Amino acid sequence: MPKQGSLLAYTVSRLILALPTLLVLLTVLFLVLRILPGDPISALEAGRRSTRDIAADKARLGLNLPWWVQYPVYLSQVFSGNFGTSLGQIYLGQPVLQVILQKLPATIELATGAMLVATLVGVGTGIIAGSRRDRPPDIVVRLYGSIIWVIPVFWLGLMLQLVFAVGLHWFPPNLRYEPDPVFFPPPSHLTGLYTLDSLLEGRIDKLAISLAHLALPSLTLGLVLSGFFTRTVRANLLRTINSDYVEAARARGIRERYIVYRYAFRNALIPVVTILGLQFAILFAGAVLTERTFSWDGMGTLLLTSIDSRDYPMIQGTVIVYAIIIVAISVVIDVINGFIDPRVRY
Amino acid sequence: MLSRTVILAIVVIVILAVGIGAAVVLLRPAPAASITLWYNSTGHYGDTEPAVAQLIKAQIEATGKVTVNLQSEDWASYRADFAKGNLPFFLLGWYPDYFDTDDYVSPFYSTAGAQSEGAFYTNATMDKWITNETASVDPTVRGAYFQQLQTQSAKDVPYIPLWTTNAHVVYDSDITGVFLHPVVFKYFIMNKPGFDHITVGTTDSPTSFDPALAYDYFSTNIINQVFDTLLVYEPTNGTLLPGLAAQVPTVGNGISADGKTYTFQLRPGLTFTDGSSLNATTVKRAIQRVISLNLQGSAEFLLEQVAALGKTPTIDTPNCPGPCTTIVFHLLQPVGLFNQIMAFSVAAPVPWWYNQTGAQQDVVNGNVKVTGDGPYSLTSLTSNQQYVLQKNTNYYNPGLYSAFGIPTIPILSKIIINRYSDSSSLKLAIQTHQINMAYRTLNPTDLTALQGSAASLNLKVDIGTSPQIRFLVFNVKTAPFNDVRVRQAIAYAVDRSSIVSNVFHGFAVTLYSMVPPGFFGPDYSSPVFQTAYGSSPDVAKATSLFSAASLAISLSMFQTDALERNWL
Amino acid sequence: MDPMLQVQDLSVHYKTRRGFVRALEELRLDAIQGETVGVVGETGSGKSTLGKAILGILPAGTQVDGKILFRGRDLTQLSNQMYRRLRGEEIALIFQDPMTRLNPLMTIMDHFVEEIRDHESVSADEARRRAREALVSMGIHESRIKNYPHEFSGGMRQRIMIALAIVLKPSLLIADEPTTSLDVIVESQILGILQDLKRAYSMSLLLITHNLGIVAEVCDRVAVLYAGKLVELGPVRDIFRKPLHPYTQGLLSSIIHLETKELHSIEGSPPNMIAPPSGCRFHPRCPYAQSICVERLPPLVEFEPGHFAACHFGDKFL
Repeated sequence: MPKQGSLLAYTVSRLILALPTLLVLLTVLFLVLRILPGDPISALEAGRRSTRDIAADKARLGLNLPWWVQYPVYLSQVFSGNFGTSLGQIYLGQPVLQVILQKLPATIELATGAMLVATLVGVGTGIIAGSRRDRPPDIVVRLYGSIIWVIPVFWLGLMLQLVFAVGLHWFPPNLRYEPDPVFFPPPSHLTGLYTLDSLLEGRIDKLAISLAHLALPSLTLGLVLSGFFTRTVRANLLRTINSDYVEAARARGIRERYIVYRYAFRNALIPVVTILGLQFAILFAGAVLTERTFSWDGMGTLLLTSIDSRDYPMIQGTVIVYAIIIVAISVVIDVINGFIDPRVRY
Repeated sequence: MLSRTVILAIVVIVILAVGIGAAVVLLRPAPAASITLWYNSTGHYGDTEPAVAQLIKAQIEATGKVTVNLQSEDWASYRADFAKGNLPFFLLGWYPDYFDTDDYVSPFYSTAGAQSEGAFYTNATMDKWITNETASVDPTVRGAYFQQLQTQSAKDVPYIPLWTTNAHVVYDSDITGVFLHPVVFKYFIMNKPGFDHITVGTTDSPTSFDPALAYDYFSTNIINQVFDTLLVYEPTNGTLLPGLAAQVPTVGNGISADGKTYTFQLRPGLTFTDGSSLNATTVKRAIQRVISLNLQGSAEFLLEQVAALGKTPTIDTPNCPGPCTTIVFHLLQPVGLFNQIMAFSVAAPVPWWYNQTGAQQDVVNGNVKVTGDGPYSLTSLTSNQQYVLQKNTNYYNPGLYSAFGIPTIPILSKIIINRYSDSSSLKLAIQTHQINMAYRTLNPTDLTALQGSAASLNLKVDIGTSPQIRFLVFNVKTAPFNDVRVRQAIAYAVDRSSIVSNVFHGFAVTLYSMVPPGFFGPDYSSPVFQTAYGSSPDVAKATSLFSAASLAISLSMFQTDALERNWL
Repeated sequence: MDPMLQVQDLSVHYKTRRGFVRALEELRLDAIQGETVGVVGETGSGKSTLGKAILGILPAGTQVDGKILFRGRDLTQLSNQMYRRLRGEEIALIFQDPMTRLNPLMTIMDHFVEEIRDHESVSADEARRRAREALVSMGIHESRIKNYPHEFSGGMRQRIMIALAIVLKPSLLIADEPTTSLDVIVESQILGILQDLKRAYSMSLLLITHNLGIVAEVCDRVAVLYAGKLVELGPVRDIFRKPLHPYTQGLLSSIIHLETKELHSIEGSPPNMIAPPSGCRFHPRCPYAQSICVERLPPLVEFEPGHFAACHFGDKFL
């Protein structure tokens, strides 16, 4: 089975290549966080603390050492998962990684929901527009694609809250779960993903509540991202639907629905999968605002809180975890791409 | 295909770098010839705070002499920082701890109090006046001292009083027992027919639930539900009732004739919820703990100075061992408001096993370590997210308010307090009945909107005058605010009316003294800042004072800069 | 023998933003079983449109008039479903550029199996067997059937395209410039294959090309198109010996000159197809043009048995 074999080989090669990428990324983060002029502790604390306090803080974090000493320590910290303990008041003394792992599931859930919305809406509208070029649905969808892209996330969030939570009472306005743990005990903590935990517990009612809470934030973030998908899918579909292989397939008498699916759509999807990876970076940025709008207790909120409380180890930990996630996602995207497009496997 | 991943990585890094760069730029220390105004960014005073800071910035900059940078941080860090003296110029609020005008004077103008406020102001004359004022019970004598204190405060300007806020709470219209009490907001007298619990939303976040450290409204208010004090307040006003003590000491019956000895009789058989004992020794140990720890930013000075217990308090427990119910406080001088202070959270007894070398941590390895004796226990705590108060089934005093038509407390078996990131989230939650009550802090716009739709939503909106005052604090030990002319210049520059009308849409009242008019007993308030600086801003005077001080400003700024470069 | 294919007065007008492009105008053409008919003309003469029109795969919104009779049935009246079945099964088309005509995401096997099973209800195994057979018959090794299109060279891909075209044994094969994008050696291989096929299956072949050399080599009859009009039609021998239309004459002289390495092309440029010239469309470039050529469209006249031309002065060249 050469096909499977080469996909496996390709996956392995992507994983091996991800390591240097991660190293490059971590090194650049190191440069940004520690070496560039104005080290973070000074930047965060100067003007408020005595110089002695700041020097003590720096010494405690090892930031007073020369960079060639800091760098290996930093790398070993990253790879051993030891990001130190929080210096902010709210999480004072708690291990950074532990706090991050508490908040990560909330963001993963939001990101997944948003990506789902973005791809479903984006690909759906893109197909509608691409297959009805210059007709009214296409014009409407093109307008949508341009407008949704420039709408600020928090404004859209607020509008959705007003319409669907306050006006129609379809969805709760904010938080990850009902605020009343007596009537609505949250699912037991297994993975931290409320939807998954509900399923593992076998409680459909809890799943429904988790999904209802996930709906508006996912919709907010997903819709904003969907505009990009809409336009990419539309453009690609127009390209593939007029392509030579579609014409040739038609000349061979292939059924129209196969032509649309196997020829036009699958080929149109390849660039979309590639931009999906890039979209994740934008997604995380958008998630910070979305989490704030919906009082969603995830990584974005944590990052804001950490900046607010000048919690340097927490800021560094959060950013590194973001970086690792994005590298991981890019590997996954590459493998998916390899799966659907044989050309990239070679 | 490595290149795509690398491009991806670079994109991510650029995004992160821009973000961090922005954060660094925004948080960077002020350049020379400018001052920095700090404010809380996490809703402790509602989300009007940035707007207030902006207005004050504009008013000061109208002098053309200084630029004002704005900086903000979360509440817990803010408290810790100003207590350490890390904030030179910042916005603060004050909610009274006890029912006496002194509570607007001692905490600010006594040397110890000013330290807790981050002003580090010290004036021996002021300290003397305060000692005299607290020792007296004669309104005329006290009035004279309060007048002198206030007049001097307008000359020294360690604080600039700005406005008093309103108090507000929005709740399901069938909830009973909601009172905007001037000191303690009592959840334990609330009821909702057909429910055994309510959920409350807030934008507040606590600093600590250790009585020895907590000194902000939200934390102390939770402490007041979880811990009882020797004396407690009536449901709706400031009259004291016996709490852990069997009766309120009065002159001749518990208070010595010279006013320097206070004797309390504890109720027998008191315990904390974990079963550990609560007797005269426990009370003594708890008071000593607060004073010996003397945590930064705590209300320790209330015990040590205001209540005149001194650095090493003399507290007798004559019938220990044995029943161990009598506790005798020996004060360094007579204090008229000692009973009031014994009703404040800082005087709440804590179990013997509480950390004696530092603040008790609220949560250790996921377990809540807050143990009290009050009507509720804090059973669950998720930082920055949720606080659950559960009925203390062994509460020693369920009939506390039976004389007020409340046969037994607490009524509801659970109070669940959820934190929301801002006023609009809080408003949405109450509007959609996600929560039963929104307490602190809705911004004026949201409050007005809720007032309009309350009836149709089956909500009640209570708005009352609040004893909370808002003001600016100078750390008088740091340049350039160690120059009184700079502080006076800013006192000339601020425009209170503009803040009240533009930010609060009238839901606030201008304030010209740290003592607000008309709260507790005789009105000792005197609008000294109006007298000294006028009722509207005087930019010309502010400008000339800044000019007079300018040489000093630039010199000190240069020094700070040089110092920083030293270790950069 | 009844012609297998009869194109009668076929007009194809494409809709564009600037107006209708008259790609074909009242075209007449026929082919009998086993016959190879060449269709020649410059780029834009409408010769590729003819192939697509017969298969009914012109873009949506294209206006088609006239009749296309295939074994007596008018294809223009067929339902979509019937037409689809006919494509590949009875009429197949080979395109000019094999590099872009295969779906890059499907293996060669997938292409075959899909096509076979979309037309005949056979088992997947049977379809695979036939796919292998067709591929091997084109000289490609069986082991490569699970490869993807990008793993093949241009010439191999064209052979795959041919295999795909003949796997259902159609009775009419339309080859639209099948060798243009290939080098000379591959070209002759492909032409050889086409001729073998034609003989083996007694197919009719409509060979669309601009290359008169190929026509001379392979075709029985030839149709010359100019600006969407049929200008000359007849047996290859007659036309090469005695071209009756000045355009055909121009085409022929250009290949002769090509052999002497001297480039000779017809003066002028192809006409605007949205607003074609009045009268004879060739008149702006015709060395013999008279006023009548500007005024009147010359009818298609049979000057010799089976040799038609549309020129007012066709008899002058006899």
